[in-house]
Order: sequence, then C-alpha cells, then structure tokens
Amino acid sequence: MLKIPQVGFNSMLKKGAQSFSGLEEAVLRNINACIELTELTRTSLGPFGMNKIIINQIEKLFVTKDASTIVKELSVEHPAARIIVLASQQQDREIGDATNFVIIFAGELLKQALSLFQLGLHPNDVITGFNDACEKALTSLGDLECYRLKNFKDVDEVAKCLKTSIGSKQYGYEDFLARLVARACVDVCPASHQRFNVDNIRVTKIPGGSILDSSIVNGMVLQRAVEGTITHVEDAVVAVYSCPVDISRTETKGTVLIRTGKELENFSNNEEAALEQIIREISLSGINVVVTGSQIGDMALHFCEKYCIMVVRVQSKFDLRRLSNAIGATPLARLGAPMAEEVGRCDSIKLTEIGDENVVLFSQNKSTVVSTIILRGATSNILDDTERAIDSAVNTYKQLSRDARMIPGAAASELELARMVNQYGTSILGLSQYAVKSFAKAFEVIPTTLAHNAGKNSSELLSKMHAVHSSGSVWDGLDVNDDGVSLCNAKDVGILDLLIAKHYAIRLATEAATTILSIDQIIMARKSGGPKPRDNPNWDED
Amino acid sequence: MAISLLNPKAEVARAAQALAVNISAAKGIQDVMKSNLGPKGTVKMLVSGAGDIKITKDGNVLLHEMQIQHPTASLIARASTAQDDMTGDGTTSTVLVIGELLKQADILISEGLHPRVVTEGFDKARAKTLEVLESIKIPIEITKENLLEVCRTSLRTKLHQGLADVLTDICVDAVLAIKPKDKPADLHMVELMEMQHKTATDTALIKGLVLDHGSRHPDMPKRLKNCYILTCNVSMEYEKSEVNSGFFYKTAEEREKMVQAEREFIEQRVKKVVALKKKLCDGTDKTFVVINQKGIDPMSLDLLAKEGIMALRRAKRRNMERLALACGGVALNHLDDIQESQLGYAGVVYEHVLGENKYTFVEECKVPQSVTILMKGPNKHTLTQIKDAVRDGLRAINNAIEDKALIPGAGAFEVTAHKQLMAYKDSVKGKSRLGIGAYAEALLIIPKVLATNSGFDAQVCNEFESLLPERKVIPRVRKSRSPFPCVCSNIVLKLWFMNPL
Repeated sequence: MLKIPQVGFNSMLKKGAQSFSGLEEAVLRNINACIELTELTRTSLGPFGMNKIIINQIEKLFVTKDASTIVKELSVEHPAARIIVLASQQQDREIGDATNFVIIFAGELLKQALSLFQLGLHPNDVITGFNDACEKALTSLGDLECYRLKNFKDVDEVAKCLKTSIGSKQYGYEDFLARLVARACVDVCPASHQRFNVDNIRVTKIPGGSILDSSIVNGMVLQRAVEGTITHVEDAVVAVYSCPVDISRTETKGTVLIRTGKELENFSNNEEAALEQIIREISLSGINVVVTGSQIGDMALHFCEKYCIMVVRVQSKFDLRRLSNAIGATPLARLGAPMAEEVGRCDSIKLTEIGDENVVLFSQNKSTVVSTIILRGATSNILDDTERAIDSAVNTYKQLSRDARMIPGAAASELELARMVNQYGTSILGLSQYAVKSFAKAFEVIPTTLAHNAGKNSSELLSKMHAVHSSGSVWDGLDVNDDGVSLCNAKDVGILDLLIAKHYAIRLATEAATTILSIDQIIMARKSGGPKPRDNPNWDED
Repeated sequence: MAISLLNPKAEVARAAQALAVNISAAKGIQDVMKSNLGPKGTVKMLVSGAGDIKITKDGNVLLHEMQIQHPTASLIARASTAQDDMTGDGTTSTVLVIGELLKQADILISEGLHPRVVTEGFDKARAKTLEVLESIKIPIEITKENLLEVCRTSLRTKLHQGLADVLTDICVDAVLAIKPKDKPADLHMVELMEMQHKTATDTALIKGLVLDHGSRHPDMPKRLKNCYILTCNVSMEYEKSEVNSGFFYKTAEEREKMVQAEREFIEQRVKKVVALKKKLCDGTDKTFVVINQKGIDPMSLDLLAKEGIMALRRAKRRNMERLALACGGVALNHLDDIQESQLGYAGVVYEHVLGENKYTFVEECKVPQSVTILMKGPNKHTLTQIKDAVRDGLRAINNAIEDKALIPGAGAFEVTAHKQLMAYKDSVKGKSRLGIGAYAEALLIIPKVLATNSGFDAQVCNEFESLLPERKVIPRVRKSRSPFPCVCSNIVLKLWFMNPL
C-alpha cells in the first residue's frame, strides 16, 4: 500500500534504493573501494608477482596472476570499482595484455586524487589536470621507442619481442614458450602481416608431462578419435561436409509407402544401393578422408570402410571452419562428390595418443594456415594459466603487426614518463598543475610495485632510477634477478613492452579514474532477484 | 473523517499537511538535479537492480532511471518527460523551475495567502513570460554555423567538452544529410549504431548504413567495391507449408527426387538473383550485394557465394527502409522480373569483425538520405551516455530548423524575463501580483544554479540585471527555443494546487 510519503530524498525512491552524494559520501567512498581492488591485484604484477586462488560463483578453481582473469572471476559489485574492472576488460579486448597495469594505474591515480582533495582542490581541477597530463604522457610515449620489429618472419626476433609478455605470467619458462609461440605465429603469418589472425593459433591442452614437453603441430589437432578403423592416411585428399553423412532426407516429413514384404525388402536394398552409389562416387573422385560436422550413419560408415575412406567427426562448427581453412577445403552443404576446387589436401592425418588422450593430428609438411600448440603440464590449473600467458603472447604478436614499436620494460618507461610529465607540470599555470604532477607521481607505482613484489627496497630503487635517468640512460630499469637493488638496461636484456599496449592502458586507466572522480552522486536500485534476461548473441546461427 | 468511513485503511493528508508533502518533494527532487545543470554540472551514477551502471547528467534519463515512487515527485518527473517528448532538451531546467516556483509559493502561503491566488498570479506571469519569449527571440537562417551553435550548446551540457564538440559536427551533418528540401526531417532515418571499441572521440558519421551483422558464409567476399545493392524481403530458405503435409515414396530414387523438388523452389529464386548479377556485372568491375529481410539457408548462401555475391540475411525491418533511402533503389517483395532500376548503389561494402560481433558497412552512397552515427566507446556506460546525448543533439537541431528562431542561453533569457515581469507586476492590481513576483523570482534559479555549478557566486545574476538596460549581456552561448518549461510547470502547478485544496 502506498503511504503518505515522508520528507527527504531517499523516501522518494523505490523501497530498498540507496543514494550517496557529495564529496565525502560518494567520491571518497568510491576512491576507497577502488583502492581496495587495486591492492588486490598489485601483488600479481611482474615476474615475481604472486598467484591467487580464486573460486568463482560456480565453484571453479583458478590459480593465476593474470589480472583480467582475477577481476573477471571476482564478480566485483561495487559500482565504482566496476568501472575500473570494465576498463581492464576493455584493455583485454583491444590488446590482450597489460590489464594489470590499467587497474594499478587507475587505482594509483585515485589515490593521488585523494590527497589532492585533502589539499582542497575541486574535482573539476583534478580531472582537467589528469586529462592534460594523459595527453602529454601519450605524446611522450613515442619518444621512448627503443626497438622496432622489422622481420615478422624471423623466429628469433619475434621471440625476443614476446618474451616479456610471457615472462610476467610464466616466469622461468619465458624463453621456451616465447620461441614456441613465435614459431607458431611466424608459421601462420600471411605475407602481409597486417592480416594475421589470432584465431589461427590454437592451443590444445593435454594434462601430463611438463611444460617443456609442449610442441607445435603445423595444422589442426582434434581431441577425439576417428570414427572407423582407418587411423592413418598420408597425402590425404579430404572432403568436408557440414551436413550429416547419411541417407538424404526431405525437410517435410516423409512416409514410406509399403504394401507388401517384397516392397519393404526392395526399399532397403534400394536405400543401400543409393548410399553406396554416393560413397563410391566420392571415393572415385580421389577422396580418402571424409570430415563431417554432423553425424555419420552406420550404413554410411560401413561403405566408407569398404572404400577405404577415413572418417572424422568434428563437433564444433567453428572447428570445422578452421579445419577447412587449414586444409584448403570448402565445407559442402550436400552429400556428393566434391568438385576439384572444393577438395582439401593434408600431408598427414593420423590418430595418436598423447598422455591418455586420443587425438587426430592434421599436419602439413610445409606452409600452413593454422598452427596448434600442444600444451603439456602437470595439472589443469597450470595448463589454463599457461594458456592465458600464450594468449597474451599471441595477442602481442597481433598488436606488433599493427604497430611494431616497442618501449623498454622493467619499469624504465614508466619512470621516464613520470619524469617527462612532471617536467611538463612545472610549466603549467593554474591549479591543475598539482593534478599533473600527481599524475606523474602515479607512474612511480609501477617501479615501486615491481620492486616490492621482487622483495627489494622500493625507495632505494626509485632514487637510483631517478638519478640514472636524469643522467641520460633512460632505458634503465629494475633488474629483478640480481640480489640487492641494481639496474639493467632493459633494451640490452631484452625486456620490451608494446608501445600500443601502454598507450591504450594509460588512456583507459585515466578515463576510468576521471569518470569515477566526476561522479558526485550514486543512486542504487535494490537488487532485483531472478535470472538475468537471456542474452543470445548467436541468434542467427544455424 | 468521511473517507475513513468509506475505506478505513485510507490515509489522508489535507490542506497544509498535503502542501508540505508536495513542496518537500519538489524541493527534494530539485536538490538532486541541481548539480547537473549546465556545462560544469557533475554527473551521477545510477546502478540498476541488475547491477548495470549508467553514468549521466541528462535530466530526463536521471528521472527515468531513479525509479521515483513519491507521487508528487513522479508528477514533476512526468512534466519533465513531457518536455523531453516535445523538445528533447531543457528537462533539468523544468524540474528546477518547478521546484523553485513551489518554494516561492511556500513563502507566500505561509504568510497566509490562499494558494488559489498564487496560482492566479502564476497564470498571468506565464502569459507574460511567453510574450517576453516572443519578443526576445532571434530569427535565424538555417545555416550550418547556426545549427552548430545550437547543437553545441545542447551537447556541452550533457557531455564533456571535447566529446561534445566531436558530436556536434556529426549531429549537424547527419541532420543536414537526411533533411529533404521543404519537408521536415525524419530523425529515425539517422541510425544509431554502437560499437564497443576504441575511445568515445572515435565516434563517426557514416554516410551510408552500418548493419550489426555480417554475411553468414565463410567464402563470401568481405569487401566489395562499386556495388549494386538488392534489398528484398524474399525468403530464400525452405519453409514448411501451412497445412499438414507429407511425402509418400517407395524407393530411394523417388525420395531423392522429392528432395530435389523441395530445393527446386528456393533455387529458382536464387537463380533469378544470380542471373541478374551475371547480366549486370559480368565483364564489368561492378559487384553485387543482396540484403534480405528474410532468411537465406546455407545452400542458397553457397550458390550466391560461388558467384561472388555478398548476401546478408535477416536484416532488420527498419533498415530496409533506410537502405532504400541511403543507396537508392526499391525494397522488393518478390523477385519476378527484377530490373536494374530497382537496385541501389554503394561505392563500397565491407565487413568489420570486432571480437565475436560482425558489422557490415555500406558506404559511399550517391545521395544518402539516411545516415548512420557510429558510436564508439570503451564500455557500455559511455556508449549509452553518447547515445542519449546524440538523440538530444539531433532533436535540438531539428527544433531549430522547425522554429527558425533561437533565444540567448546562459541564463540571459531568464534574467530578462525576471526584469520584465517585475515591471509588469507593478501594472497589475490585486493580490495576484504577489504570485507574479514569486514567478519572477523563481525564474532566476537557472542563472543562479549555473553560476554555483561553475564555482561562482549565485548572486551574480543581480549584476547581470544591472547591466541589462545597456544590453551589455551578450549571450555567450545560444540555446534552441524552448518555451516549454514555463508551460509545463504551470500545468503541473495547477494539478498540484487542486490536490490539497
């Protein structure tokens, strides 16, 4: 029943709604929540970052230090913290790497903003300052370029560029994995490297062995057995069907009209003969392997065996498409002998056993369009986490094909950015100067955190780095391997970050931080129960 | 009380108590919206029951999303919605003026004046304000510069400046592109398409159409130039007959024939398209694109792909109309004797893949009368923010085109109206002049709040007023003419006073 309402804003809203407003209640609360979140992921930054165990709402276990996975599985509810999570997810989508940087940097910006508010600055001043400084940082980023990938077909050169990305997630295996991924990327990279497709590098995870047992197949790997008894074909000529390999059917319901036993017998014979006819035609056109994306009837299988055709079923529509891509076949929508240009070719197709899994390897001797990394590891958690590291590396290659510039890693570029922005800050008039300088200060969170995670003294590192950088060696970063605090030239050691990744990360983090700062009121409706409305993005699938 | 005899559970608030409830609601809602007014207003974050985030400072969006239950407050919200329906702008102002009118009325009523008299004064003042509005308006030519100004003013109150300026150009170009000569523009012909990608300032105007799906066949071309566009609403997939039917056969051959006969029907249609393509394109550098509202099944897609035709199925209905406007040609409902004249043209058609989503761009049309604003942003809430703003921007431009007149913004109108009302008040006899005075005061809320939000002293408008006779207040920014705040607020006021009395 509707009551005569009370005075006050909250009474105007629906029952259960909450509202927070003003600097104290909304802005500071938001900032604190976001800082909590960043504290969480901070310990996972860099080669010595710690892993986290996360058990998500469906009780799935994750052991990882990949920030985008951590925040995704945490299902963060606080609205302001969600904005940071969204920013890091967008980074994951655009670049596929440097997600932790977004979270940590956005959190640090907010922390800096907090002290600016205590100084008495208005949020608007802080926002303008941050935006200014962000523009400055993005333009100075270009000056930091220290390396450019030139030959996209050179495994060694590519491996060098991918090493850092893997090293921050699977430290210790980075040389091995970087080479593995580099080989896979180079193999499938088309002549014009801009058209490199991430989807063409597949990862098949098979438990057992160790990461060092992982290998590459030039082609596809299907994790299932073949249908018939023929398990090995060299120089295969393949027909791919997206329809079932069976007797044809009408779309409208069909009824067989039979009056006598003779007719019944005739019908069966007839049917067999028709099917055999089709399979024979297929066989005559030189096909020795049939791949179907749907079922295969018992009778059809029998005839395939009879004509020595190997039969493979692929259940996923996407895998079918990839496979046809890898062997150069056109999936046929109707059963029948394919035309010459619709046929796919593969140098070797065979069923083998890796670990205790049956896999079908489709491998090509020379060039290939799809490459598969067979990943081995002791537990499924290790496999999952390594797969994420490989994904980052593959994405790095993809981004390199768009923008081949690299900047020094090991916190060298962050420190240099901090110096540049700070210098710019001193030149501005007005209150936003404070904000610009704070923005510069926020960059220092990266060297600090790296040192912290590696168990080193961060203040000592900062002072050392500042001193070295101001004397001109701007590529010097933290050396994590050495005892004590020492520096190394990031370029010489081969710690390289993607310029474009940092570009997006800085922009997204700043955007998230300024969005949070510009909010002066939060109004939350009561949580509605029941399942979410069904969202079906694939409404047009077959 | 009588009502409790009729319904013992009813609650009653009367006279002074009712008024207090109403006025407190108006003040409450005014307080909330106050900080959003103007280019320097702050934004609010709304979290829906499902946890979705919305960040906005658009008055109308706020009122809708806040789920207000208070009856009086929702009445005000409705007035504001009406304002949005009519003009698409000025919603926050409406709420502020209503709140302030009630605040001023409260002062008078507490001094013992009957609400009826206040209303009378308000009515008179409203009539006068509308007169002032007529006298102050600046007739304009519809030129791009003028429209840019209107749109910029509207958008800067909703988004931050950098983004607003990008969108201003886009909105004005969009409206100018779709507006037929001598006829009002249909804003639905501007398609708004979202793409979660890059940053908000990458939003762009596409002189053509963007569809949010791609071709469904891996072998179809992804990019075509110099294309004929066939838009049709013809099913190219097998459909069951409406009556219950079945096939009867005895042998496998018979069944095979039936299977073929079934396909035959659809194939005929596809072949017509293929034949037309062959006739028009073979031997030239032209290409062919089919955009179908109904389905196309895999086998038909196969046939089309073999001919190098790009085919899109299950296009949205509204896009069929837009396609005809953007590319020319006619949306066909059957494929019997199709001719070249029924086809549209586009310079380039290509597919863009973004994660799992596909988009098809139909661009470089000859004289597009339907365009697409492709909104980009790194996350969903930015996209909705842009979408709401773009809608309002388009409406503002359209209003200016239809009205052919502007009034100065930045609080200039309100200050002028205040001054003239005060003069008018002296010419009126009786108690209602108190109401006029209150109305005049209430209008000042707009410049006051604008000043406060920008970090100035609220009393700045007094200085403005002293400058007015010499006309030194040159409006810095202009605003589209929106006489509705006054009208709406007054209707609401009347409703209001009826209630408690």
